[in-house]
Amino acid sequence: MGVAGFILRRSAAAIVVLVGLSILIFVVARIIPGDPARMALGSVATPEQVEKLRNRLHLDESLPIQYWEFIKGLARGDLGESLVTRRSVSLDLIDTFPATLELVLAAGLIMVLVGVPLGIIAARYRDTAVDNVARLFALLGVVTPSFVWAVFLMLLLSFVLGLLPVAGRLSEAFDPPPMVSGMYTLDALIAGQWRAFWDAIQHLILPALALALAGMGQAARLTRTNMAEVYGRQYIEMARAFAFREHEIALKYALRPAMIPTLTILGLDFAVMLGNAFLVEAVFVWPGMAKYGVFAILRKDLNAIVGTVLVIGAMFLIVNIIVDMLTAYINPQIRLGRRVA
Amino acid sequence: MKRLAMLLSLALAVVVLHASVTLAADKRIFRLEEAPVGEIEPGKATDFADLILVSNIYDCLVAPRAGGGVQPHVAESWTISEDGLTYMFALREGVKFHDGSTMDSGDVVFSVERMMTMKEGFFFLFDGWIESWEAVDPQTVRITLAKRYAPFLAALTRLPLVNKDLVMANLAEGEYGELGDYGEGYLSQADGGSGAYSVKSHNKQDLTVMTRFDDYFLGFPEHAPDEVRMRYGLEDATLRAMMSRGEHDVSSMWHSFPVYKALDQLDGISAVMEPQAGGYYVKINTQRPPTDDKHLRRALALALDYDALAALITVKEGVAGGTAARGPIPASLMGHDESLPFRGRDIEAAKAELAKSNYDPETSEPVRITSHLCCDTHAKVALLMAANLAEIGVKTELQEMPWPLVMESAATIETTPNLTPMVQITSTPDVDPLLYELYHSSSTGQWHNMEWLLDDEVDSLLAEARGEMDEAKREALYKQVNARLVDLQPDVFLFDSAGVFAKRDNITLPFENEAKRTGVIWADFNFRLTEVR
Repeated sequence: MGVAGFILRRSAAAIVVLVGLSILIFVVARIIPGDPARMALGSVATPEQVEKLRNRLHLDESLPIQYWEFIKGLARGDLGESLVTRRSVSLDLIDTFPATLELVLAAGLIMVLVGVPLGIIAARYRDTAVDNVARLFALLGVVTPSFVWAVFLMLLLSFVLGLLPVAGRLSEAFDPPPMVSGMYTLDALIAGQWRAFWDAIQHLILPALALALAGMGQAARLTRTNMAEVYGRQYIEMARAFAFREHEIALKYALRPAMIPTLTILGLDFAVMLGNAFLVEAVFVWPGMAKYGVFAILRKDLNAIVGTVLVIGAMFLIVNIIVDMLTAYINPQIRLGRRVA
Repeated sequence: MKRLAMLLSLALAVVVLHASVTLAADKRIFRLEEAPVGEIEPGKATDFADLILVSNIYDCLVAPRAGGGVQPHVAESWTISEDGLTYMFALREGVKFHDGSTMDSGDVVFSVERMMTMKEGFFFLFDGWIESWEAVDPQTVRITLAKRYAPFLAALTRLPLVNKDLVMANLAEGEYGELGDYGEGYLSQADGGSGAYSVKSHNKQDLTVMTRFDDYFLGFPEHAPDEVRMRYGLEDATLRAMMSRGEHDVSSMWHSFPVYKALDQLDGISAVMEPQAGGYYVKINTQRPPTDDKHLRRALALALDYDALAALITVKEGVAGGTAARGPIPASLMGHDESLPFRGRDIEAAKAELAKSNYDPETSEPVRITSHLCCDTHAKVALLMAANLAEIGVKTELQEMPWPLVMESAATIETTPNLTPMVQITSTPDVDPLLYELYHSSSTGQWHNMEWLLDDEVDSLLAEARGEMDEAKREALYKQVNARLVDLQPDVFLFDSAGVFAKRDNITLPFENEAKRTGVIWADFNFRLTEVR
């Protein structure tokens, strides 16, 4: 089976998973304590107003009927109306998802560009002072929650040193660039707004770093461990015997096999960051989907909960498919094994 | 060397760009914070954030007056018929909407009709009272009431006037027949008002940006902001970092008191207090044992350590989350009784009251104290109460609940906790909504009436006061209500409430000037009267 078949098969499985996820989250959202209609209308609403909204949302119907109504809407691309923002959840997600995606992509980039080289250096100089420092750094990244990093980085780099802006996606002096992707850095580039681009980058650094540090530590530790194991193999000894240059051995012969488990974990980390970005988004006043999703849960905004979870679920599945493809590309055994089969 | 040169060039570019960004921001910007979410649909707005937004984007016929009551606004004058049922409003000429069109009586009538049809937001203030409404001529509106309703003018501060033509041009599919959604979708994202500020962008959970409407009929004082940015839900650390760097101006009143204390210590930042027309009450369920016993309720009130409670909500001298209360009606509202003493702790008197009650520590149910999770002050108050009550031998059970569950628990007598600390503020510049919500039997089952007082005398006095158009007689009725409530003790009247805010020193908020203070939070955050220096 070729790449197309592989993608088709995985996509079909992903759809089944998404349907299961939608049923699960649909039911879970409805058993969270609290009356969504009462919460949506606020504290001064009369019982009649609450009842009217309950009827409009089909909340008096049985769960299967409510789910059927939801599926009918979904078929039209309509995730329903948010009880909090009183807008289409689809529109809310279109507004908030790019902000989170931009944040997570930047964090992912930091995770890979810093975490993996750190692991390589630690493995290359294992059991030396360089290795110990790198491991300590990686360990700190892993054990410290993102929100602690967020507050620490903010206090250090913004409050004390004043190097970076505290919060938001752009300074007050700028209007958001014309929307193409919803990611301000990319949209500013497309519009040729260089100052806005640089401002958006400055705003992105702290939240992305706070979000990336755990995954970065994880990537460094995994890369180091796997590379250390590969360095013990005979073909590395042979490469050294043939006087291959050390960085060539590291990047060409040791890193590639060592990257397979690292890549799998990085893929999972990337997807998990989409959901876990909430606290970082809250601290840095980042108007993203993760924050939107948690507000939805706190306010029992049923359609928004389901919509957010489905988007995160879909992203999780997409990232998994991409990771599987990359793994197959990196590992000839997997590729050749499939061809033989 | 080449690399070093490149790095230096990059650093230089960063500095230059940073400087140019700073220079670009030369407007007077006022940045404040509120709890999410911010609703700008005038027919739905009910929370603090919503009311601050809507009152600055929209105008009403009347406005809260500094010191209490209402004053002319879009209506420059009005007459009331002898029977108190017909109100004729003469509209001010030349009031412009943000799209440049001129407001007339058609817009006012449309706004009343919209509120009465949609039945959302503050509809309950008019439900059953307004009988008819009509445009007599382009500058005159007549509203007829079904019954005499003394708080009607104050209620009109909660009826924002919308641009009829704009709404009608932006109808979407909805539940109101040919009126579709009545412009609900449009007005949730854009504005159709005539207020001093117009909406530039609006994200309900993060940020609303508003710009000054230069054609505003009242004009602008010299230091009024050009742009207002309302942020929602800043974390404590974020707030501190932003305020200290001058990136934010005013906090919300929802942070804990230690946060205000810490902010007050920073250079250029001060904690300030806004006295509000409301109270900090401990709501007592008067129907559920053991607090269905009046003597036990009195014992609870006498046992509390008010000085320790005051210390919990004090930021510094003259700035606290409340001031000593004399009863249910706060000092700024009609019916307040200056002759009553401030409440104080008296353990012996508490024990004497307890002895008169049927409470038995061995057999009675423990007193359940619930605090909601929104503010740690409530939890601290609950803990202190439990300690105080233990001193007179009353058993307690503490519970914390998220706000939605508190609201749900108020649905029945059986599920309503015995004691719930809560701040409650009047919905309009009149005492009527506060007392009706707190004590009238028609309001039971909702969070603001966890007292379940169900007292015929209070119900009757409140209803009579509503229909009494003579101010002096009305005040006398509220004083009777006040006395009856002090006797029945359906609440512990902890404090007359006040909001505490942290603000940068270059900002002067309207309520800092007594001549501008209304005690009504949304009016006290009148952006036009805010000074940015």
